[in-house]
Parts: sequence; C-alpha cells; structure tokens
Amino acid sequence: MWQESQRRTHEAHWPEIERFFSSLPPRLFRQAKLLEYDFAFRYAATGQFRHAFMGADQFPILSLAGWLLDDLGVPTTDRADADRHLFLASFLLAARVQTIEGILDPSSFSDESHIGLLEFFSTCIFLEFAHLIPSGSSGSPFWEQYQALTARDLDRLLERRERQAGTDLDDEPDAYLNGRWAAPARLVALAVTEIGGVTTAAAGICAMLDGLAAAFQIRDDVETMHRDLQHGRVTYPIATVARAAHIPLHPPPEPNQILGAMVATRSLPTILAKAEALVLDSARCARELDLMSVGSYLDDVRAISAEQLNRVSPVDGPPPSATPRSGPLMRTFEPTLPKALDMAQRFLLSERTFRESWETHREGMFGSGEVASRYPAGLILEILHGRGVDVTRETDDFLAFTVANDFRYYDHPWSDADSDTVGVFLRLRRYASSPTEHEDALARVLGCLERQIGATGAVPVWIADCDGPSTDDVRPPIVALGEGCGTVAAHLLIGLLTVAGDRYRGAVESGASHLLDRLRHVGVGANVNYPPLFALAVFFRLLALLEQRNVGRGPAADIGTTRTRLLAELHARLEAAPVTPQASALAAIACRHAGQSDLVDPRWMTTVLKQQRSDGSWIGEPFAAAPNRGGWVSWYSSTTLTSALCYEALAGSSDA
Amino acid sequence: MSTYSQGGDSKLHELLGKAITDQEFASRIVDPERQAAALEELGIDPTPEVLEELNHSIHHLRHLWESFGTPKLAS
Repeated sequence: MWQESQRRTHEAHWPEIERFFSSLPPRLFRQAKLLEYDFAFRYAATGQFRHAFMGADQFPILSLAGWLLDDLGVPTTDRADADRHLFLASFLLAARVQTIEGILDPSSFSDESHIGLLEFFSTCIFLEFAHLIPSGSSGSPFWEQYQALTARDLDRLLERRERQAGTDLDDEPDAYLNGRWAAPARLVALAVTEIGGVTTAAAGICAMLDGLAAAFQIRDDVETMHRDLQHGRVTYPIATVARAAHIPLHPPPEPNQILGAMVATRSLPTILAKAEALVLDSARCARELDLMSVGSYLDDVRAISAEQLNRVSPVDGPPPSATPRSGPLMRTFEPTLPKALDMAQRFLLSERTFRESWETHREGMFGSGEVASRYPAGLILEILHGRGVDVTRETDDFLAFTVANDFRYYDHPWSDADSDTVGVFLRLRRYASSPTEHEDALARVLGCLERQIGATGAVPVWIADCDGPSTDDVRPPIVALGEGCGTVAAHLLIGLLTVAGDRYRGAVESGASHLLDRLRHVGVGANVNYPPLFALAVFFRLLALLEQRNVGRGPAADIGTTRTRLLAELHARLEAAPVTPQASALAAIACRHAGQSDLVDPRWMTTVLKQQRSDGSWIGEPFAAAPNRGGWVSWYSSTTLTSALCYEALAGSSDA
Repeated sequence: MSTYSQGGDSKLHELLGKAITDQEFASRIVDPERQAAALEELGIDPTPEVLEELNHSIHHLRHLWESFGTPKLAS
C-alpha cells in the first residue's frame, strides 16, 4: 500500500519541484542543478532525480507527510493544498541537508558560495510551513518547536565540524548515531500533527522517525566508510570497529587499519544488527501508533535490513548468490588527493606544447596578426620536472625554439630578448637530453646580460641592443612594459645559480645585491609583473639558493634581513584568506618556499580540490598584465598555467 | 580505552584492509601459492599461526567482497 501512495504523491507534486528549480535566478539555478544530480546519484535507485527518495531502500522524506496525513486520519479542509506545501517543504528540508553536507565534505564540489542557496532554501521552508500553520497562531507549539529543532540541528553540525577537526572526539559509537534525516522528518511530523490537531501523537512519531533516521544513517555510513576514513571522519561504524579492535580514534586511524579490523573483529554484522534493531523498534512504534502506511513501509525496510545482515553474517559456506534487493553495502573510493593529482597531471600532458598557455596576442602587436610568447610553457615544464614527470622531449623542443628565437620574449623579430626567457632557459637546461647543447647561443646572451648588469648593477627585464644598435634596424620605437620587475630579476638569478661553476658569480652578486636592497626597501613592491604571492615564492626560492651557494659577502649578509622583511609580508598577505584555487595554490607554494609549511592552511587545498574540473584542469585566473586591443592592458590568464600551479600546490601537500 | 598494539594486530588489520580496497592484492592473498609473498611484502612473517588467522578471515572477506561496489557515473 505504501508504494502506491508514494508513487501517487510523487506524480502529483513533482512538477512543483521542477517549477521551483526552473524559477531560480541563473547562479542559484546552476548550484541547484548540481544538487539535483546529487539527489539522483545518492537517493534514487534509477539515477533519475524524479525518483529520489522512492523505494524501501531510501529514507521516505518526501512521503512521510502524505502517509501521516492518511494514517492519522487528519481532517483537512484542503488536503491537496496541505499535500503540496508539505511535499515541497520536505523536499527543501532534504535539499538543505544535502547542501550543508556538500559544503562540509572536502571531496565534494560545493563550497561556501552555496551559502546563498542554503539561505534561500531556509526561507522557502519557512514560507511553505507558514502557508499551513500561520506564524503566531495562538496555542500552536509548532513555531517554537521549529526554532528549537533548527537551532539544535545547526548546533549538531557545528559539533560535527569540531569532531572532524579532531577536537571533540567521543569513543562511544552511539554518539555518532544522529541521522541526517532526523530533524527534517521531525519537522514534517510536527507540522502534520499540528495541522491535524493531534499533537499528542507527535512525541511518539518523532521517536519512531529518529530511530529510522539513525538506522538509515548507519547504512549510509557503512556505504561511505572508506571515504569517511580517508577524510578522518568518525561515524558510528568507524567508532564501533575502533572500539572492538582497541584502536584510538585520534589521531585519525589509517583507512586500511579500520577496514581490516572490521574483518578481524567481525564488526560489520554487529553494526548492521544495530541498524536492524532500530528499524524493528521503529516498526513496533508504528504499530502502536496505528500508522498503517508507515508500518507497511517499515516491514519492507526490515526485510532489506535482515537481508543485508545475512549477506555479511559469518556463517559457513559460500556467500549468498541470490541477487540482493538493495545495492552494494560498501563502496571503495579512490582517495581525493592522489586522484586529483593524477587528473591534473594527465590534463597537463594532454597537449604537449602547452599551446593554450602561450601569451598570444592577436590585437596587432608589432603590426602582426599573431604574436606569442611561449614563456609560460617554460614555467609549466619546470613544475612538471619538479614533480619528476618526464617531459624531456618537450623541454628539448622548448629550448631549441628559445635559441632559434634568439631568447626573445615574443616570437617576432621586433621583440627584445628578456631575462625571464633566459632565466627559464637556464633552469630547464639541466633537464634536457643534452644539457650542454646551445652553449654558444647562451654564452652570447649571457655575455650581453653580464655587460648590462655590470653597467647598472641591476638585472634588466628587457635585454635590448645586445649587439649594439643596428644601422639598418627598421623597428619602430616600441614601449616595453614591465621594466624593473624584481621577480623577473629573481627568476634570472635563480637560473644563473643553477649553472655549475662560478663563471657568472660577479653578475649574480651584483644583481642579487641590487635586488635584495630593493626587497628590503619596498618588499614585494619590487615585483611588477606577477601575482604578489607568486613573487614571494620566487623571492624565497632565490634567498634559499643564495644561502646554499654561499654567494659573496654582500648579498649573503643581507639574506637574513631580507627574509625577515618578506616573511612579515607573507604573514600579512595570508591574513586575507585566499578565495580562488590559484590564490590558494600560490599561498601554499609561497609558504613552502619560505620554509614555513606549517602556515599552509588545509582549507586552501580544499578550495583547490573543490574547483577542479572533470578534465583535471582549473579555470584560468589572472596571472600577469599584458597589452591588449586599442593600447590598453588586460590580464593574461591560462587554464594550463593555473592548472600547473594548482597541481604544484596539491603535490606539495601530498608530500607533507 | 586499551592501547592499540602496533605489532601483530596492526599488521594483520593492514593486510585485511588492503585486501578489501586493492583487488590485485586480494587476488594474491587468496592464492595459497602467492599468499606468503603478499604477507612478506607488508612485513608480516607468514608463520603457520598467521596463515591460519588469515585463512579464517578470508571466508569473511569473501562475504564482504560480494557486498562491495564502486560507483560509476554517466550522464
């Protein structure tokens, strides 16, 4: 009987939900659309959104109101109206729960930006109930209960957050028995009993629903046990196994330890028996309360519980071969971080010239239809080499092109060579199949750089007039942007410091002295072209190398004070928490190069993980200012470069 | 709460846990000819007592394997 009633209710009121979703403004709609799929995947046996919460293996959050109205024989003046509002309220309550859980789950793709959707759901829930039970009705306990239940539920969420952080762990498994559907189901039951004037039945119904919600929670927690363990979450099954095997819950136990202990201690039947007992108890309550529809549904839930228990019970003989009525009891989940890293690496290697990252200009730079700088591809190759990825062939190609292009920043004869290009060339050279190749070309451009550093003491960004002014030069006057950038200078110095021997020691000492002096005076203000956190990472990397190579008395003596100054800037910049994946990645990279890994906030990596796309990439974020149409400047951004930076940051956190 | 032994129990649990999440490893520990090598890989001495405990648990593992699933999505 419950199936037919459930089907009728869904068919009658599902269009209400479809209308609700389609009326949302674009950004909320986009978030709600993901929620639809979440529901479809997690709570519908068919994988169809419209079948969510149907069947005996799902908690009947959308059916409870109708069943209770029937079973309690509630006389309503407009039953269809009550059904409609209660159905929508039930759905919104479920949606609120799912949204909160998504935000809290580091492996999900929901983040704090979903708070707006959550607030909207809360408002709509209130309005749906208020249609049926006007706020301020005399003698009505509903709104007081609504307020108290909502507050208690939110408090429980905070408690869960604290437990996730490992600050308030309880060894008692029953402490983890709060069902995610308990509060929504209670609110629906309280509304029904209020509408029907049978509030005396409310306590019994709520107790029955609490038990049922706890039973479903156990099943859900068994299913996601592997993932919960990977994230250090404690649930009823995990606490039960830990207790049986005398494994402490803090620090978070290794997933395989708990899963193995579950087998060795035969805990799974005990856990599922608890769920079955809760269902039995709920069924007994339903019978006592004369709830026919709910009772018949619970009979079927009982059958599934018994079957699940039978599937794992340690009886002799082979495992049961009959097709089970319910799906898998447990699922294995690939750990989020290694999976994300693998996806990112395969994205980066999916196009080996990294063409998308080239700083390409089609606005008519140098009067040309298309001009490009491959420099960002060099940064990506450097990151990949740093992680031990074999990109030797791609590096050979990059170096050969750079030499053929005379170390120019852009692939146009009017472009000057630049220190960033020479710097990345020097840093990549050791990874080439023939690291000593291109010796003559490199010596020529470095000789030129050496002369310029000798003349001014500073590392130039643009290496102009390397061979002296040409008499037949037809190049018009060109405004070169970004001169004086300390990050470019640092990039070049890092490159020179990776070259074996002392051939360029004088240039390094002079350029480093000049740069460190600027850094002490203006801090990260010495950076012109790059995001400040990226610049800080480069500066810290340089300081470490200068120390390591014991470069001259001048700069060496100043490294400590420069580092102190830059560390203060790093701390100040981290006070404003990074909000985007690239900013979060750069913050982590900067901390690590500063030797301050303890400053890396795990939430930064959560931000990175939650924004990864299914192809392994991240959306490109502004990285450097570059000329654009009509004599203006706009931000260069690249999906590939942003993805490489996110990859580097995640890989660093994986090492930690 | 009693303290957790970092010795035998811990190693056995790691072994059984790995057998749940790693199918290739699982296929080795159910194979009598490859079982000992799989144990040694995890630093477990394949003594007769350990093998007896493992083989006793394999029966339960088989029940569990039947209960496992990996979600596959397509839209």
